Amino acid sequence: MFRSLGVMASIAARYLRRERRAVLAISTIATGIALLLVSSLLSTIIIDQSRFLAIAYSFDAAQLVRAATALSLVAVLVGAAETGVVMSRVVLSRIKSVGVMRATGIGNSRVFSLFLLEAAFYGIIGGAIGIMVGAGIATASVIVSLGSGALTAVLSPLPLVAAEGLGLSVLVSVLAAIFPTAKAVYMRIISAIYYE
Amino acid sequence: MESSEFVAEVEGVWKVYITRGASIPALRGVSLRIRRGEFLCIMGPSGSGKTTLLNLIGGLDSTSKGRILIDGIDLTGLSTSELSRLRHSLMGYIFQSFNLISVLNAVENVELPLIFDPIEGEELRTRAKALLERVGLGHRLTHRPSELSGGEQQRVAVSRALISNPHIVLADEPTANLDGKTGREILELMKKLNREDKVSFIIATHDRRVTEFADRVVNLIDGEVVGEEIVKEGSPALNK
Ligand SMILES: Nc1ncnc2c1ncn2[C@@H]1O[C@H](COP(=O)(O)OP(=O)(O)O)[C@@H](O)[C@H]1O
Ligand SMILES: [Mg+2]
Repeated sequence: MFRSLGVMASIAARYLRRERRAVLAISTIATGIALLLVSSLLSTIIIDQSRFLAIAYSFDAAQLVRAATALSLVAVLVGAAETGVVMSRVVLSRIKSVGVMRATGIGNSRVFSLFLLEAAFYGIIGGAIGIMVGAGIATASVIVSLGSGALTAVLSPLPLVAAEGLGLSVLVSVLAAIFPTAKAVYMRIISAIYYE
Repeated sequence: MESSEFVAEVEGVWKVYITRGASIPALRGVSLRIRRGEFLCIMGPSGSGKTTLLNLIGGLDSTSKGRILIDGIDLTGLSTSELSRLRHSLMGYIFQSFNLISVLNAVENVELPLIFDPIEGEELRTRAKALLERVGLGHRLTHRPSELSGGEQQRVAVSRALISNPHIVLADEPTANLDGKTGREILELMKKLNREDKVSFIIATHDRRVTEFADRVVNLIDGEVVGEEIVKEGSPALNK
């Protein structure tokens, strides 16, 4: 079990290193997660700071936050769609390999997991970059606008928000990879081997 | 099962492809038995059904009629996963276009069929290296396919086919993408491994030179076996 995982991880890592398309998937995921992070870290500050505005113009500051969150979720979804497109290209370029693996008797579920694991790697890397960038932007904007005193309040939810962001990016990448992978794995073996 | 004289038995096999309403009978009642350790050549012009026959024997596709037994096991009734396991333990495949995995180096490509098996990584590595040394690639272990010549890639593919100690190695036009001299070297290599390991080789080809190495040549035309030549060991090709 663990050996299988180790083997899959090492193969997926090898693919990852040599897959140019990965950059695209990773950067879109990173953008989405960064936006999500910025909006959730700054939400308390935004509500706090817009209180006066809200009183003056009688609107709900929380609405502003919800709008920002919705926007970043859209970014994450776009990242997901992009990952889906990238994964289908990746799988397409490897249909022959999938055929050969299946011919030699490597089970469908293992071939399947191999691709999903690779997608999960995209999610982890993209998510991690997004978290660093997002936390960086939030920190910088707080320091510039309110000074470093406000920093502790802003950064206190960081571990939780970061964990959520990472979970979301992995989930989204894996989900996006399922359909294109299923197509290759459940294709007739000979069609896969002789695929051009 | 080991006691059976034949590793593969093809009994009255038909294969009809159905594409857009048209049905193409690629095999029309083929019967054939392959002995343990035999070096068999399936010879025929392009379109005669060689690849189809090889795919059926290899458990990669199913027959329209008739049956195929591998080590006495009828492939017809097997589930996808049973078939997968049978291919895994009994078959090795060699393709015309090598079909190595481009991101893996030579040793890793050879290890591929067994990477999920309960075998120590060290042991698998040792076996893969030993095979590559046997095929004369001891100095190319960590090269990737793009850094190897066609002949070298096919040697890697031959090693990959043998890593699981299969009973049958199926090779579809293994020399078609190689120049004459390299093709001959690959055939010599396959013959050597066939003799040393007692593993059966079934080679589909339209290349007459293969017959020089074969124990037996089966001629296939339009999906039917039209004749057989028994080639005596060590004798040159019967037909030139
Ligand atoms: N997947 C397929 N769908 C439809 N027809 C096919 C398919 N594969 C092969 N054929 C047809 O079956 C016949 C035999 O093909 P094949 O087994 O590839 O012959 P060979 O390997 O001897 O060239 C040919 O007429 C070919 O066009
Ligand atoms: Mg063919």
